Amino acid sequence: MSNEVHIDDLRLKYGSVRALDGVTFTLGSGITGILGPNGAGKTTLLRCIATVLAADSGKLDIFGLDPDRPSQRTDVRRLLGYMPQEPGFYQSFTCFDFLDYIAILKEQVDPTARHEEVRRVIERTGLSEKSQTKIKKLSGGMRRRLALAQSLLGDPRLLILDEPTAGLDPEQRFRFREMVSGLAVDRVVFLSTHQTEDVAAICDRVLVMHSGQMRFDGTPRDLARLAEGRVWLTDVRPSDAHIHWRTAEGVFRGVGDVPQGAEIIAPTLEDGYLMIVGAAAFEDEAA
Amino acid sequence: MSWHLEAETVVRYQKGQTDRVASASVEAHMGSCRDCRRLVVTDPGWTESSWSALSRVVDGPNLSGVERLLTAAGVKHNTARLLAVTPSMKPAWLLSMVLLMAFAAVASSSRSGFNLFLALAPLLPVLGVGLAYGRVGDSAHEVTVSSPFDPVRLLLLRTGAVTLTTLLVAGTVDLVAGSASGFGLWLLPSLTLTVVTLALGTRMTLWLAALATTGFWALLVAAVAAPSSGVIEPIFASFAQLASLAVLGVGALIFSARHDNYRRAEI
Repeated sequence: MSNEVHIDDLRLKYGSVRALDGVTFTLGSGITGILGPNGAGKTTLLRCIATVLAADSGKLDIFGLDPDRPSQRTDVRRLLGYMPQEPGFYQSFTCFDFLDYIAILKEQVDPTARHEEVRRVIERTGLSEKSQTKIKKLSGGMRRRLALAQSLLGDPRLLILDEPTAGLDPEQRFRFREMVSGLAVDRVVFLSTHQTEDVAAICDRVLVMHSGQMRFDGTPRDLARLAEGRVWLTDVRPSDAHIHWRTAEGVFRGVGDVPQGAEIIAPTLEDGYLMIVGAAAFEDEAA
Repeated sequence: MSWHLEAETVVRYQKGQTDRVASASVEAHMGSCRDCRRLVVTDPGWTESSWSALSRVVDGPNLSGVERLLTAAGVKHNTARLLAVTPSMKPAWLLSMVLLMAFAAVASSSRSGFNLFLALAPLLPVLGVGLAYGRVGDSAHEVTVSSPFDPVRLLLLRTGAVTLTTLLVAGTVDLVAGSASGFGLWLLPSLTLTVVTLALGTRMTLWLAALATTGFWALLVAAVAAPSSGVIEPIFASFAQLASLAVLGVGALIFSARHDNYRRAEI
């Protein structure tokens, strides 16, 4: 069985909006992150790969299986773990009971083996002390862990994580990244994020999506290099034509055309991302 | 601690030779005396297996009331868990259904005109099924659909459980209250409207399909009800029951042809 996921010319429209506009790429072992502003099509793409949404056209090949064929779709679902952007929970369930329920859906019929598997993912995601706590009493960070835990049931070969660090404070994000980076051995991990720090910290490869199209595919270092010679600092507020922001040191940092008298500095991954999506990234922050 | 256990007592305790009172006393003392705890010879393997067994008991699944009822009725535990998360299988829903049906039966028995019981009974399974599957009723629907468990099987499982429960409630109320028009007239229309909901659900969310079916039924009742008396019995006459059967058949065919749509998350 192939160990790759091939996405070929995937297209999907919501009314007149092209959510996916001819998306083509291949995923292999390791962690691949996808960046993009709100509405770029990231979640739509992840939902298609997770087989919950059918594209209008194009081809998906997941480990040699075609999820458009009902007979093979179930086989694909046996190989994948999916953490949606907003996973729903049954609030009155304990963490254990929720995971037990999902494990039943993942065809783990034998109760003893299933309960052991539930305990395994609970321990793996650091939820041991909350195992018997009702979901309605969990903090946002713990709920993200529970969402990750359900995706790990059955040790899937393909892990799809939609905004796994959304809504987490910096310390929780750090711990979550640690957890996710430990999952990549012999596994295809595909995650979407708004956080360029997530990508820099844990991804071997990064994709940038904008307006339903793939705009970049390379390493995080390659993405940063896109902004080489285009990132600058200046004491004077530049014109609004430049993408810029005020730093903690009180100077203005910008990306793009260099204003007169500005000092050019080394780019980061975020600068490369801004070179691609431009002002849309700031609209995203505001949203 | 001013006193300590005798070594012989500890040995007898470990061998299980002390009676219940003496054992309780030894355990109470050891709980607060580190020196006496050290007298107990521990076997790491035994400790590990005991701890593991204890952990399995403490850290295990908890059965809800509905799950207990279902398993007591012979439903397998795994299936009971899949059914118990359905909003229309929760005690609050079942209780409100019983109260509504009882009220409708009492109101109808007064023969003040409009036969509330006959009008409402077919809608119970429709609304219950509308909440049994899909984005509106199932908060974990997205994860559910991405799992290998066949969504159509899950839909039919929940539809069957909800329909059976509501029909039992309506049937019991009908039997107890004694419908003047005859027992069970509502049964076939109930099944027909449920199947129509499932057929419509292949094109829209299941909850929306349930609302559309409910709206259609309400219009039909309003159109047929006699202006002076509000009697709606013509809807349940023999020819109408035959028509209902035909619609049920068509609905079943549509569902059969398009049920794969339930295997995606948009329903």
